Parts: sequence; structure tokens; C-alpha cells
Amino acid sequence: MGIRARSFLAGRTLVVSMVLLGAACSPPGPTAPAASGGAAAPAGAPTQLKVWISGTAELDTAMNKILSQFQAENPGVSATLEDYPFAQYYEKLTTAFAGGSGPDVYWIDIRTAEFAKRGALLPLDKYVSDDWTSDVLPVALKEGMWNGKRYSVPMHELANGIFVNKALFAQAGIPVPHDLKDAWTWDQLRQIAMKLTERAGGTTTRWGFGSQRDIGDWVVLPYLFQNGATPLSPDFKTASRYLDSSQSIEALTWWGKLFTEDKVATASPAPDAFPTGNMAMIDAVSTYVIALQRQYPNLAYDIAPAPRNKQCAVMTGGFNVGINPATAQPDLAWKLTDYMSRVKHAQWAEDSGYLPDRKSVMANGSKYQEQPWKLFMDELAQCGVSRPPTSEYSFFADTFQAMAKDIAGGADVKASVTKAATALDARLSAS
Amino acid sequence: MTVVRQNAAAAVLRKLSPTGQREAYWVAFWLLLPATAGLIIFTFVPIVYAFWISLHDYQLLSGQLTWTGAANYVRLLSDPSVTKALVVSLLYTVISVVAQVVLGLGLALLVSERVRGLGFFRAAYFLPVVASLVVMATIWKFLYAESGLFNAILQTVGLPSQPFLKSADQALLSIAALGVWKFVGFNMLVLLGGLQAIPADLYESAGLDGAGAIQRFAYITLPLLKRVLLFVVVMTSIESFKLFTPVYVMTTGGPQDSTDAIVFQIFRTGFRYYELGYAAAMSFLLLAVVVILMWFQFRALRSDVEY
Repeated sequence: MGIRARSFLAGRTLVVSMVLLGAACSPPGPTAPAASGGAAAPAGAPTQLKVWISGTAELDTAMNKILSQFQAENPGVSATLEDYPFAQYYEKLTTAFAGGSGPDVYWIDIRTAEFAKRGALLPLDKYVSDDWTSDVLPVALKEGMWNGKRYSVPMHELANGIFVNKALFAQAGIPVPHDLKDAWTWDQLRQIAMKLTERAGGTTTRWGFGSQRDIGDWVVLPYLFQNGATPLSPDFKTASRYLDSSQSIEALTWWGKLFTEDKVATASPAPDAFPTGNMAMIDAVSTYVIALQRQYPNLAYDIAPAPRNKQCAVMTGGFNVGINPATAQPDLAWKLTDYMSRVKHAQWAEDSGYLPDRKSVMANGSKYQEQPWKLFMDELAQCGVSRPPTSEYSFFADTFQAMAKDIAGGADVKASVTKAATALDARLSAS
Repeated sequence: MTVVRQNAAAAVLRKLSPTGQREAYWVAFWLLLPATAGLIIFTFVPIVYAFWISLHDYQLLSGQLTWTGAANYVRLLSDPSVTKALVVSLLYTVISVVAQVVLGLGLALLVSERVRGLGFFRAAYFLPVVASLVVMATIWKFLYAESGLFNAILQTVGLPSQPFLKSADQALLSIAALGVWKFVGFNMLVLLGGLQAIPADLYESAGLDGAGAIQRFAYITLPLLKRVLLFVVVMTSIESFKLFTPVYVMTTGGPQDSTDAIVFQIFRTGFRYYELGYAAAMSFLLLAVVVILMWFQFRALRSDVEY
């Protein structure tokens, strides 16, 4: 190809390219995430509210029932539900907000502070009165706060219990406590787990103990609290002298030995290890009752309270409801939020299988006076602890999880804890 | 070859009238435009935009942009976790490249014979390439479990169980094994193409001169495969540095940060910790490292051997 031809092609291609580059390269600026109600609806069209939750098909049914009831009581309003699996929920939310298409009302958990700090939640103090909060369990209210303001309200709660294989326990002659005051001590739990662990050759054929959730703050933090430790300072900005306190290290050392020395627990159990008899006891959340009823209706199991050491501590938490600050209908969004979390709270707790966090619902529900729900409600009211509602929660959760998995894998406890505390201090102090 | 084609094209153009030549240039321009536009919009513009973001504190949730200049790059230089992640990625790349080149060449030599039925093996070795990496990583996670298939095999032959993904010493190698298994088939095919392009008479002549199999491999096969090997090494290096999916699915960076690869850290920084500006700066650091690595590879493997 001659020089002239190359110049022709290069020149024109360059010009077109610069035009395209200029068109595509307008500098981005802060964008308020537009919600579905952003644009003015045509006259006569219903007002749209977009609701995001994370759950299952059964939760969708229960939530759609509430939204239908809200729509019936509020003609001219259309509330649509979108549901995403938990593993993808926050990534979906993040990209939706980044793209300016976030929901009006959405479920948010311990990450309330994280989202509030980054401008993705509307402050709710003008809507939430003392009357509103006085009916709610104190432990449930903590997750929705950041910098002294409320950004989300509780939807429901979860609490943990030790699910035990009834047949194995009967065979071993081990009684199962049902009251908080009879909860196993750490040593008792360890002894039972060792008794029920079975091995053949070099392989463990039945684990004595395990957890339903992956190793992380939900599973491990209760042991710190049970030993009188806390992971962070009261202002959630310091981990040193808290996470690496002697009580914390003692708790983590005891917990780690379940995996490394006693070998009664594994960090990677087979799926459904408990209902298939490969695990004698499992530390699981209250909704595990619903899952077992559905998938293993013939399984004979019992539920014991979470263990205790110096004090009782049971991890609690659940989803809250928050409002997108860019919603065009903040008052209507609050009306829906209040409807979901307060007005229909009893119905939601009944239909979803989650625990209620309103004292009035607990007092009036006969279900919560019977086991195992009574046990869970007692744990919630008397022993509930929550994860730290820090504005850097994701970093805390990842760092804590990495530390806990390293300890379960046999790493030196003190070194792992010190490394985690140092990393957390650097991050949290700047938050 | 390229010079010959260029001279032939010039000869064709010279036969056309000036108007005809102009028309030919416009046809070429319009035919090139879609691909060029696609390249600019979907490759170069995002790179420029990412660089722009890297000069800001960009909060992903709120979209707030605050100019910080080179602060993100200064922070990179003093962040030990970034250095560690680069080392992990580099280590993984070295393991991957060596294993894939050696295994890929070995498999290519095996399937290069004209023997009935070898087509099945070529397809079988290539099959993992088309499988979903997310699915394969999930399956291999179970294979590596304490009660998984690999440990069952080890115990059957009298060897002790291994921690694999739970060991800081074995986790990266375990992930590398998945990567090699997944992609070696592709490299096998590329190297097979290179092998089949080597004229057979060169081997015949060498054989007549008394050269043995090893000498023929060392003095004919390898030199003439240098260009193909360069392609395999460069492509495998780039793919290996982009290690993300197996880490995300199997280890989330542990145990003890032994699999905390740089792309996984970029993802976590941008999408879990919402620091997109810092994540963008890390991306450019990765780009610089890969470009430097490729420069060394081109220098080491450049070939002046022609058929």
C-alpha cells in the first residue's frame, strides 16, 4: 500500500476516532442514583415503587402478599418486587446504585452503616418516633444506626441454636437442654462433640460438631462475647486491645482446637452433613427449622440453646429495610417501609419463618410460647449480640473471616489475631 | 510474506485510475471503521476512563468523585497487601506457564502422530477449555475437600490425606492444577498447529545425517516452534495474571493470603470496599507489570529462524 493510501486511511480513521473518543469521554460527575419513581409519571399512571429483597421463592410469596395488601390499601401505587440470592445481593445493589437504577425500598442488614456513610440510605429519624422503636427489641435496633442517626428499621431477626440428631443423642444417652439456664458449657459441648465423632482409618465418618454457615463473624463472634470479649472498641474504630485481648485469644484458641486438636469439626463439611447423619450437632440459625421441615420432614432432631462460658451470647441479626435517598417518593417509600416492618410484622414473621423483633408480636403469638420458638425468642431477648455496625463492615467481615479460617486451618492464633487487628486498625481509624 | 502481499496490493492499486484508487481507499476505510470503532469504544475508552478514575477518590455507591491526583498511586507503593498480591500472581503465572508449555507440548507431540483414534484424544484434552470455569472451580473445590475424591484416591494407594486448599503451602498449587487442566488443551492445539507446520523433510534429512530423536527435537522442533511458543507463553502469562474465578470460588484469597491474587484484590477493593479509584490504580499497576513481563518474553523468545 502506498504512502498516500496509508495517510488517507490513517487520517480519516483518526478523525472519526477522535470524534468517538470525545463523545464517549465526557467526565463523569457525582450522580444521584435515580430510583424508579424519579421521573414524573404520566397523569393517571400508578406511582411506582421498586422493592428489592434477598431471599427465596417462599419469601417472595410472603412479601408479594404484603405488597398486594399495601397496593389494595393505597390505590394508585404499584409496588414491584425483585429478589436476588444473598451471594449476589450486595453486588447487584452496588452496580444498580452506580448505574443510577437503585430500588426505592430495599433490604439492608448489618451493612446499614456502610451504605449510609456512602450516601445510599435516607435518614429516617423524621419518620421513626420513640413510640415506633419502643416496641422493638433493643438488639434489633442497633444495626440500623450510623453516626447517631437511624437509616434502616428492622424487618425480622434470626437467632442460633444447636440442632442435634435425636437418635444419636438418645443412643449415647446424652440429654438435650431446652432452657437457656441449662445451656451447655464450652467443656460440655466439646466432650459431647468428641463422644459423637466417629473415625474409620484416617477418615472422619461423622463429625461431632459443625456450623450451618461458613466460618466467619456470624459463627465465631459469639464465642468471643461468651468469653467476655468484644471484637472492636465501642466506637468501632479500634481492634487492638479488643480483638487481641486475652479473653478474645482464649476464645479463639478454644474454638480453633475443635478443628486442629480435637478434630470434631471441619471447615468444609459436605452439603447437608447434619440431616444425612454425617454431623451429630450443627450450630444453625432459626430458619433452619423451616429448611429441615421442607427437605427432611422425617428427620428427628432437637434444638439446644447456644453454649455459654462466662456469659451467654447468641448471634442475632436479620434484614432491615432502608430507603434510597434518590427516591422521588420518600414519604410514600416510608409508608411502605413502615407497612412492611411494623403493620404487617406479625404476618411476615408467621409466613416467612423469621423471628419477630416486636415485643407486641412476641407477646401475642402463641407460636412463640412453644419450643423451639420460645428458645429462640428467649435467646434474642436475653443473650442477643450483634456484629459490629461499622461503616467498614465488609472489610471487617473479610478480615475476620480470613483470620478465623486461618485459625481453623492450624495457623498460630496470636499471630493471626495480631495481623487482623493491625489491618483493622489501619482501616477503621480512617473511617 | 507480508512484503510480497503489500507489493501485490500496490500493483493492483496502480492499475486503477485516480478515481478508482480513491474509491478503493474509501471502501477500505468503511470496512475498517466498525472494528476500529468497537476497539475504541469498548477497549480504549474504558482504559482512559479507568485512568481518570484512578486519579480520584471514587465512591461507587454515591458516584462521588474527589480529585486526589497521584495519591492512589502513592498509596499503592506503601501497601504491603498489594505487593504480596502481585507476588502471588507472579508465582501463579510462573507455575502456570511452565506447566502449560511443557504439558501442552508433550500432549501436542503425543497427538501429532497420524494414528487412528487420536482425534478422540485431541477432543478429550480440549474439552475442559470449553467448560465453565465457575462450574469447574466449584466441582474441584469438592474434589479437594477432606472427604473428596482426591483424598480418597490418595488413601486408596496408601498415601496420607492432604489439606490442599486448606494449606497455605498447597492452596496456590491446587488452584494452578485446575488452571493447567482447564487450559492446557488450548495450548496443545496451538502447539500442534506449529508442529504440523514444520516441513517433514527437515526431519528426514536430519535422520539421514544420523540425528537421534532428542537432537531432532532440540535442533529442529524447538527452534522452529519459537514463534508459536512465544504466542503460548505470552497468552498464558496474560491469562494467568488475570487469575480471579478460582480464587473467588475456592479460597477467597486464603489460607493466610497465599492465594490472594492481584485481580481478586482489585475486585474486592472496588466492589466490596467501594474504593473504585484505588482499585483502578491497582489495575494500572497490573497493566505495567504485565507489559514489562511481555517485553522480557518477547526479547527472550524472539526467533530469527525461518522454515
